[in-house]
Amino acid sequence: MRTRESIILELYEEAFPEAAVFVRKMGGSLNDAKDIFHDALVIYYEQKLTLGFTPEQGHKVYLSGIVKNLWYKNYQKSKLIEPLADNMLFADDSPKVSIRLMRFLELSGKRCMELLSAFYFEKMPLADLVERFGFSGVRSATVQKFKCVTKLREAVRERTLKQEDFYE
Amino acid sequence: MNETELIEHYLQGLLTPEDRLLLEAKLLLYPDLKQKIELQSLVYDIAKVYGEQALRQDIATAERKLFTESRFQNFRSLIFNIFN
Repeated sequence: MRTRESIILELYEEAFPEAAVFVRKMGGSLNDAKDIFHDALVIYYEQKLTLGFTPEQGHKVYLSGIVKNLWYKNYQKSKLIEPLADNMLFADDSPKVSIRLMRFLELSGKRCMELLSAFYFEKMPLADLVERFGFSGVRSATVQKFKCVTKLREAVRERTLKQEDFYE
Repeated sequence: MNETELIEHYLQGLLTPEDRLLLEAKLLLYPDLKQKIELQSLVYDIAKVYGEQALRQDIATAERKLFTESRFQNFRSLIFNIFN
């Protein structure tokens, strides 16, 4: 089975040159092109996961469309994407979550974080979770998933009782 | 259905109208339940952000390889020509 990184590498190699030509034409630098392409890949991947689609006109054309949209949306005005606040991850519609809280949860239950992100972010079917995490079956994966949700919910509760780093 | 599962279905809008009413009635009686729902919603946000962060790390690794490893020399030449 191919890793996600190898799929991304192939997409990058195939689609980045066209994005770079566009950014250069618009007066941007190589770093602008890298930043914008990085964001475009995240959007592309998330849409692929959420909608489960394969673009009709191909990955390259679709990614190129996202790059152009991002450019007109973010770069045209200021030429640079505004840097995110140091302690926050991700812009736009992504949930705002404290990095400290996320690190704390990762330390207290990395396997649970990985399991939940596979299910709720990657939208991985339970049958695939069974294989990736070595569960005995779908029922066992479901039980473990809910145990993890409960465990993290309680960890967040205890943590937020101690300090206010819920959402920042 | 245990409580965590019930809350998940509530947050996803999957409860039947009867179960939803029942849960909303419980919310009035048990203030703790409201907090549990808020915290569980936050756990889903955290899982998504954690997943997005891992995705960004994979993208950064792929980018680093493309811009440093010798097997991608042709790719780099093409890109550097665009910006020169």
